[in-house]
Amino acid sequence: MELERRGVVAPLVVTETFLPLVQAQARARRVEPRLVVVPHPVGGLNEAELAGRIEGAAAELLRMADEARGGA
Amino acid sequence: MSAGLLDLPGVTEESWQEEAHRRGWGDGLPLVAPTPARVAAALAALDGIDLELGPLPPSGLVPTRESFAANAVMAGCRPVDLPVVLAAVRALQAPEYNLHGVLATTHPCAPMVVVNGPVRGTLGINSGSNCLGQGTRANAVIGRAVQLVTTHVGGARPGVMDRATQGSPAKYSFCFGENEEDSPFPPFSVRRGFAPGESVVTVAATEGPHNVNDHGGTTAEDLLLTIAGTMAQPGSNNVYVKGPHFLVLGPEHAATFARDGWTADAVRDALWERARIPVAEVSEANQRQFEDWGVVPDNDAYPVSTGPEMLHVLVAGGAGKHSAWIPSFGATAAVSRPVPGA
Amino acid sequence: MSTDWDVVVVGAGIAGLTAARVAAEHGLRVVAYDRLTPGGQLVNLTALHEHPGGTGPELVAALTAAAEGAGVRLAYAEVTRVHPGSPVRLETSGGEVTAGAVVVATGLGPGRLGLPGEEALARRGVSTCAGCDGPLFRGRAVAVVGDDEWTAEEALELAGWASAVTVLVPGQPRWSPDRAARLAAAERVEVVPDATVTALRGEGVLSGVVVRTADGERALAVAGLFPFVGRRGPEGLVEGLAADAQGRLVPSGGVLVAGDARAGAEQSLTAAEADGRAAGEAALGALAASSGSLRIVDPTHGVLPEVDAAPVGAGSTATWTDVALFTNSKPNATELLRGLGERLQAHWGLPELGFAAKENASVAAEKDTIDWLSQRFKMVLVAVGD
Repeated sequence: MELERRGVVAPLVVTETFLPLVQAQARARRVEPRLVVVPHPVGGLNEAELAGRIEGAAAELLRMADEARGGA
Repeated sequence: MSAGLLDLPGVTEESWQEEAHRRGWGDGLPLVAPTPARVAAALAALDGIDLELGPLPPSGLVPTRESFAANAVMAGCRPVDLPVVLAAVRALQAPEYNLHGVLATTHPCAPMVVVNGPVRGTLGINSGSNCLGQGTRANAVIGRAVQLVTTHVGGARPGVMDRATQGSPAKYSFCFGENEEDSPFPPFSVRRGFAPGESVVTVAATEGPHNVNDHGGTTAEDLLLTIAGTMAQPGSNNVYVKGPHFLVLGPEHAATFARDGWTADAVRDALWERARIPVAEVSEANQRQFEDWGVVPDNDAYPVSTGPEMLHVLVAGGAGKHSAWIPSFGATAAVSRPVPGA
Repeated sequence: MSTDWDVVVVGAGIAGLTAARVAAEHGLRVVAYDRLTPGGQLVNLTALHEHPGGTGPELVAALTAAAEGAGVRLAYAEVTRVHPGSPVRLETSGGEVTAGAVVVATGLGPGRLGLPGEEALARRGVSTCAGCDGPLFRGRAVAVVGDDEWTAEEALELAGWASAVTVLVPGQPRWSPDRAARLAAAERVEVVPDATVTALRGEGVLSGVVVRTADGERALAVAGLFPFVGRRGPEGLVEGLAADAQGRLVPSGGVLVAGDARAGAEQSLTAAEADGRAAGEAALGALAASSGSLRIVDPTHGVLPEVDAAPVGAGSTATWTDVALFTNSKPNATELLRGLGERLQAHWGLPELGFAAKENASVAAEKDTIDWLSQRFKMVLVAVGD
């Protein structure tokens, strides 16, 4: 979140479980983070499961990235 | 109505517990209703003392005098307990304590509060028999108040923001005094640079205590073998996150060390050498995990934390042949603060 | 008394959302019902005047966020009947609920002329929302019927689309001098006082209206007609509550009414907001009076420290080809980031990505690392929570 304050586009990859925590921090810092939410957990996954997480999150990330670049 | 007061319509002293529970407040145990009169009485103990508190994660809110005192009241504190609670909350706001990491972690760490100095006697903080257990009001309410302040103002509600996998009963309350009177060593706070006779609170984010039973040992060497064996376990954060850990010697074990000519620092240094985890007791997957954190074995064994200075030795408890090892979250530090006004 | 809610607010427009927020800020359990979406008429207002809230939807978003932030639950169901009492019982399309207090803030229903054929021409030329339907009348003539602030505001809005806007005022305008001046300055707007619409013309779609003035009756060819007269309050919603000639409720017997739905309300945003605030406070008072209350010090209270919220100038010359990954070093976080990074690399045709890692997932990032990333890169993909 500090990166965004410095003008860097910084999407945060966060699991559903930790989303409330990240949102609370964002409120405390008065920033609106760009969030890419993936199902929990990430740790302990095997390669196939991890590939699934990447697949699921990629579209949202690319959309967010295009939007940020287009708006700059 | 001034900010920070709530009128709970339809709620009475009798139905207050239900209301507090419904609002997600507290730790599951009954709470004292923080009425303005009770809070004002509690705040009288902080007359002339600035809170000197900063924002609490994750909400980023700074407690007000009133909300700080309200949490102490809810925990069951008497007014005289507040300065010790304040010292503890100040200590856990030190950056090296890493409160944010502590609140959000899956690790079962609790804010351990150790009290030194005359305030133990004034408040009746137990440093003797069953000091880590139930039954002493000051220990129970001070440790609990520290948790409630961070939970309520910081907003780290269990299960929502507090992501502990299992947690620990120590998270209800974890506060005790050092048994300076029965210790052969200088007080823990004095060894940490405070003046003798000064009341000091030390906090760290730790697990609950692990018992070290040694009834057969008669020498310091005997005890060291048992303690080192208890510490040399591959499942503590201190192995790869490193950080501080604590050895709380029962007075009888401490007396054995002293009789054999050992100082607290000598005990610490010997345990650094002897508490080693054989590589064979660590899975290859965990060896790789340790290596990712920059931890490599030293002669086919892993040490506990990074050096002898990471082990803090103190004395607490009553009669008997038990001591306790208290591992920590790792990414934390022992932080000491004087008790204001004491 | 055990109730489902301390306060039920019926209608989530500016008055309702404000009442709900104020009550919730006092620690009450509050639900605000709306048939559709929060916002009431505000959603239909593209530009707001006399209120510093930006556009209607922007103000709605802010009001909704403030209410939810204070703990208000928003429920999307229609409240069909309110039975005052202790507790208050409310029939809703989602079942019955009970509350200690109720605030009725439904606003007014849509405008109606009460002419034959009006129902059949609804949404076929007859509309009550300039912001929604204005673009349908681009380059065509429309008429607006009414005498109040809403009428003027909607006419001004329509002037942005229509070729001509005739404002038919049943008597004399009641809008403010400021709005009168803005209407006079609008080239395409003509205001006709003492005008009555006597008939609608059109087969299937509206083609015109018949207007009677002191000069007699004449036909006015319009493709669109926006009536803001004949709007009625929620009469009959609350058992035993009296209504005025416009169907607006007269508060009594502990039933609170806020905003345009209240008899005697001044129709403006600021008045509705003030009304909502007063109703929220009154709900608190009513509850305390009926059942007593326990006053406590809020144990969750705190103050946000002053922070410099302004963006810190990076002085960075990084471009969109400068993209990095920043991992928290938890197991698999790095792998996940690299996977996502590869997708972005392919998508944008990027060269190598930068990479940084927190040494320890459990502590905050090093300032040096943040400095390096912010100076060197335009975009950094960060793994934070697991």
